[in-house]
Amino acid sequence: MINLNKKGHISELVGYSGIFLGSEIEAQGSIKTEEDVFIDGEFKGSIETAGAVEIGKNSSLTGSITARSIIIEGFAKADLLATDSIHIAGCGKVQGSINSKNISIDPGAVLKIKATTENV
Amino acid sequence: MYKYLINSNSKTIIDEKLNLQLREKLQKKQIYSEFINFSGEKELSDILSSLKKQTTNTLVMIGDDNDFNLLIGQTGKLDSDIAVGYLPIKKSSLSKYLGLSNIQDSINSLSQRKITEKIIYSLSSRYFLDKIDLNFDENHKEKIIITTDKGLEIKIPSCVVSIENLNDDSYLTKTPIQIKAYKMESQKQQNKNKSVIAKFIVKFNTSSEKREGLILILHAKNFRINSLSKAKDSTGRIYNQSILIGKSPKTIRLISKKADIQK
Repeated sequence: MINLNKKGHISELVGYSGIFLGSEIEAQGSIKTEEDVFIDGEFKGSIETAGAVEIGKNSSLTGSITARSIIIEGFAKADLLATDSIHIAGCGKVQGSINSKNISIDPGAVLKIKATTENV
Repeated sequence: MYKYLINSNSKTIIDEKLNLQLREKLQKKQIYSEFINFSGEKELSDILSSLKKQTTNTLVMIGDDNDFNLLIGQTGKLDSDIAVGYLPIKKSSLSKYLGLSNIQDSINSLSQRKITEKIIYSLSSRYFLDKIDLNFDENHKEKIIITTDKGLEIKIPSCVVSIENLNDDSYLTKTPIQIKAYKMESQKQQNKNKSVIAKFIVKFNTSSEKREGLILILHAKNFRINSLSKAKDSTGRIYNQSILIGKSPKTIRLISKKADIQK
């Protein structure tokens, strides 16, 4: 998990080299990469990666994610597909579908989803 | 033949004594020829256009990183056979990048003509070697729009956009350009709790601006940045509202301590 400061900015000391869209950022389109993706802003579109995807507390995502693992802490209206795991934090809100062999949901999460735990 | 360029308006002053020392050291290594002074990018561009391949095989910038970046920016004008060298007067990020720890070290590398071929990328009509920072006017409320070659469109607030050539990183060969965006700590915020002397120093030292936080990291092959405000880089160049990055990669022959070839 990536730690942000109070203003939602990432520290360079973290040494993170993947894709990072901070809380003040609006983006739309598709991201296709081999790296990890961390989104804390507004994103509309699709994310496809061999790495991990984290949707931060300040984020709003509409679209789809295909990744090795997915963590949702913000809002996602999306279809989520992960080969390893999907975790929805207590502050997370998800609408759509989730598909992974390992799904974990913290108490407090708000969900309107169709969940599948078939091998993907 | 070697030719040496000196920016007479450089922030790093080369006084008479240093100039003489350099000439002596270069003569000792038998690589001294001509020192050419220029006073700005326009004049440098004219000098490069008039260079003949027959009379110049190595072009060396003496000065600091800004001066060397001026030369790199204009390498589109150079014949691709001409090798480019750097004689840094002080330690810098570029001298470190080229493995040059001091003046004598640089002169040795120049005389040994250790050449490494590097891919450089274009930023509008100029080129850059490792990194270039664009300062957008933070008072502009309109957002900057960054578009990648894959059609991803990103809107960010006015800030500093740092563009880096990651070509040496084999992991990122498909997306060799990295963009980072930083919010700057406002001058007002910085001046809070500062003594009168500290405030005075800040007023006359623009490099005292502090990067507050990273808000974007993105990799791609090509980018376009559109903004209603103009941007300025560290050499003072002004960029217009639509900036293309990475469209025309070019290979340059760079003299470095870590060489691929020796000629």
